[in-house]
Amino acid sequence: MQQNEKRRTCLRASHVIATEFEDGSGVLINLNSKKYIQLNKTAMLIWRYLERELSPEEVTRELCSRYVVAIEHAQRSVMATLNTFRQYDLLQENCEP
Amino acid sequence: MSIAICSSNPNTSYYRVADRIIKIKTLDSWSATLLENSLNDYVFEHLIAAPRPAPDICVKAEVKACLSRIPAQTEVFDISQGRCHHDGTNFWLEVCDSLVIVKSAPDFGHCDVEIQFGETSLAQEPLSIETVCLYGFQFALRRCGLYIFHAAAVSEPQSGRSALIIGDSGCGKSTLTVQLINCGWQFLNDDAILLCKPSISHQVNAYSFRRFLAVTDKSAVACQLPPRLQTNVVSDDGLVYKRRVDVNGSFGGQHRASCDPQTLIFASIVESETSEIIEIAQADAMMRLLAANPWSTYETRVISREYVSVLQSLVRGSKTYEFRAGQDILKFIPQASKLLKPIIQR
Repeated sequence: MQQNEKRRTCLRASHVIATEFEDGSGVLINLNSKKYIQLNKTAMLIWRYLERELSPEEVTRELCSRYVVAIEHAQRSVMATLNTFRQYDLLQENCEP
Repeated sequence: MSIAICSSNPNTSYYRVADRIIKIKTLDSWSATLLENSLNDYVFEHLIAAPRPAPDICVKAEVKACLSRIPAQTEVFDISQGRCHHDGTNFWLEVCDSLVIVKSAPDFGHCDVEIQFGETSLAQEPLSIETVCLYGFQFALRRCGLYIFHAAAVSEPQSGRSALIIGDSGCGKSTLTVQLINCGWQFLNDDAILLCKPSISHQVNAYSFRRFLAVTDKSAVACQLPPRLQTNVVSDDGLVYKRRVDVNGSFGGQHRASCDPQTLIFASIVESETSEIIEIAQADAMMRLLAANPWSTYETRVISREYVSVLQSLVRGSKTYEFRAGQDILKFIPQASKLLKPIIQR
């Protein structure tokens, strides 16, 4: 990535409340649609990285440093999770896959 | 029933509930009677004089032949026994031919919640009045950090630890509560409590809210409730008739005003002979609480965030279980206590 290239991030939408529990799992609540989804530990971790404004590439790298996982596998997990977040309207509108 | 609502001002009275002060303004004697009768069913303590500091919330009530017009261009959704209109910050609840108005910026005599009782026969039915008042109280209490919660609350006598029994109407909350009381447990209520989270603590407090238990004839017989404890008959959601049992007069020594729940029990009735208790994940419990408390997402953004925060703290501070009550619970009265005691003491 070039130094001056704009970093692509997926920001969480302001109408979402995140709740997290002792085992690392959580529930996201969309106050617009009134829908809520349950997240496992990994999906919740990805959400927390998005809250820190990490890009999808940075989230993948963080997952790889935390778990013994192939980068391709981590990449697929991150993209699938982001797609789910997008499907439930949990990310800001300008977030492209 | 006589009207005894007058205090410093003929139309104004003050009540305390869970350390909050509620100001009630009534514009006519009929609405004063209706509201006072409803308040008497819950643990609102009538204050003789105007309190210091100022009230946390103000509720106004009046009887109106012609209810206020609901503004156009509001969003509408169905609620139990009516419809709710809202524009994001203000709410208009059409319930049983009456109207509850909740405004974020009070503009009608500094009142936060306004109850307009209709004059139709439906509006004057006791159940309609109870429903309308409860909607008004719910909105008013949420605006001072108190959340009416549909659950039983009980305390195990040896450890002093407390549990909430959560579930839809008919899941056995009242039966379990009365059985546990028979085994010496303390209790707050079988169906309606208040939750709040003190600002300096992550622990959620539960307060007794309703002054009576509502028990079906079947449960009253199964739990061997003495006839003298069974007073008025009340209807619950218009379908199931229950006996009303006063919490103080009947089990005064075992009734508690508040507790800090450490166990959440999601109850259901199953056909099997034996009961089963299964530990569930906290995220599962949160999903169930959100489903059981739809106003946690339908309120204003600010209140929804606080409401969800209270539910999250409740789950995080608790062990969470599913209790599938089988036939053994009704056949052997101490069974509920025997099964629940170990998980609550844990």
